[in-house]
Amino acid sequence: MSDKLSIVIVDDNEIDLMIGERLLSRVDQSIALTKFNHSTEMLNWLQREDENSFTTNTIFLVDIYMPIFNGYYVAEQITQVFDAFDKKAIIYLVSATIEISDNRKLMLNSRVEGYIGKPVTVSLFKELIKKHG
Amino acid sequence: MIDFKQEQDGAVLYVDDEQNNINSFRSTFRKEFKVYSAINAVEALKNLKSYPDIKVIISDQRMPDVTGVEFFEKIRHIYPNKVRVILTGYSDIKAVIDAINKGQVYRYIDKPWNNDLVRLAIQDAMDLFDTRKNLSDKNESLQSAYNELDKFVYSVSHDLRSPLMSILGIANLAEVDVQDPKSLEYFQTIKGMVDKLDGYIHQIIDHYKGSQGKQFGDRIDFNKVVDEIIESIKYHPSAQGVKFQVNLEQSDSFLSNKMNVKTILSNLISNAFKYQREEETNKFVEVTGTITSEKAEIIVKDNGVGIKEDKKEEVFNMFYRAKQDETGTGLGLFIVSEAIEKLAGSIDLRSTFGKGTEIKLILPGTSE
Repeated sequence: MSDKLSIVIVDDNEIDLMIGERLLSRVDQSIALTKFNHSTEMLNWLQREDENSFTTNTIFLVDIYMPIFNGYYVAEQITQVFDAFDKKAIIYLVSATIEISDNRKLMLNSRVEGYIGKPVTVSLFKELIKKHG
Repeated sequence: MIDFKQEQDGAVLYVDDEQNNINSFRSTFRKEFKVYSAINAVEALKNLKSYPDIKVIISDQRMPDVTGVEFFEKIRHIYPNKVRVILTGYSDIKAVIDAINKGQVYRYIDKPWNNDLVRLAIQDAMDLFDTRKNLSDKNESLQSAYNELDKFVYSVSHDLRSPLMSILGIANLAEVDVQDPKSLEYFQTIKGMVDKLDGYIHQIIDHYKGSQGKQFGDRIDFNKVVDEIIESIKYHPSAQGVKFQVNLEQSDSFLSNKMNVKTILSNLISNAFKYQREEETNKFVEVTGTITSEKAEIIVKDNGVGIKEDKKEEVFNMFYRAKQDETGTGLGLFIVSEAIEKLAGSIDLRSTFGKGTEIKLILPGTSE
């Protein structure tokens, strides 16, 4: 297992979660993946964990349009929790929507690295690992 | 002080500081209109608040506390839809004309009044009120239809696209996991179909956004727009092995609607790439033109399949497709012609079947 990089995926679409999980395992099996099908589950988990639970860099792939808590809210919560840590959270907001008219919203959160259009691909994971691994 | 409603739906408020006039007005018109009255501005305001069925306000100009015009000036922002009529003698005519010109007063009636003229003025004012009301109701329902459409477009762009992207993801995953060449071929076909459907969704959104564009003040750098288009299609299979040349001379800044201009150029350019001839060894697409602040004249030229003489009109129709085997949706040139119409431009298509196509586009620039 890599000490440096781990990935967390939050998406209410189970198929997309499965695609992400399997594609990542084809690219690099040493990277730990944590996945959540519900934003509430993910937020509960986030509150429970302490700094030691995370690798130096954690990439969060957060679906924007989720029921109960949407991606923007989840990103804010991640930011708040990591503000107290010495470790790094790298957030990408993910969506199948063609155009994100909420670009300004993306920029409001400094930990949000960018926007990823679905579907996630092998080359995306390779790029993320190269950049943050 | 209410007289019972007779025939007209909606009421008149009569404001006058002389009780005699009020009495005379009420007795003359109470059979035809529902009449409220007030002896001064304060009472008039009270009535306006209490009786929302008031459509028309008739006020005497000369009153001790405020003049009729001043009273109207005060209430026009609170009750903008109520129609205001002033009652005046000739000595006050200047102030009244001024008020009419400023839009504070709809009409004036001479004092002493002629019953028929007052009747007519009230009738006209009521009609005006109803017309305005209808218009604002229609506006409101249009606005809500528009919001519905926004929601629909959003769901097209997200809810429809979301499962489609899952299919694409699964097909991608299968391509990584599956070795059997036959299965691989199936998955590639699925991906091709997803691409096509996705292209269709993109065009629906483009069309919608294009039809919404009301801004014509975007500063457009044509070289930059063409660069962006090329950037987005250069990896597409249709662009491989095609020589691309741009020569656009833009001397001034050009103002128009950027969304529409981009839609037009991107459809024309991607068509030029798409409809190439397989056997041609020197495939090319050329974009040339001159742009001034008044006019952009752009030519998109290719040596592709060309268009048959009898199909030249048809290509701009919705859902017309030139080739059965192409991935087109039949919306491209339809969207182009709509966008051109919106920008008051023109398009001229010259093509020789089997030799190539040259499309000349002329767009007028708008002023600041």
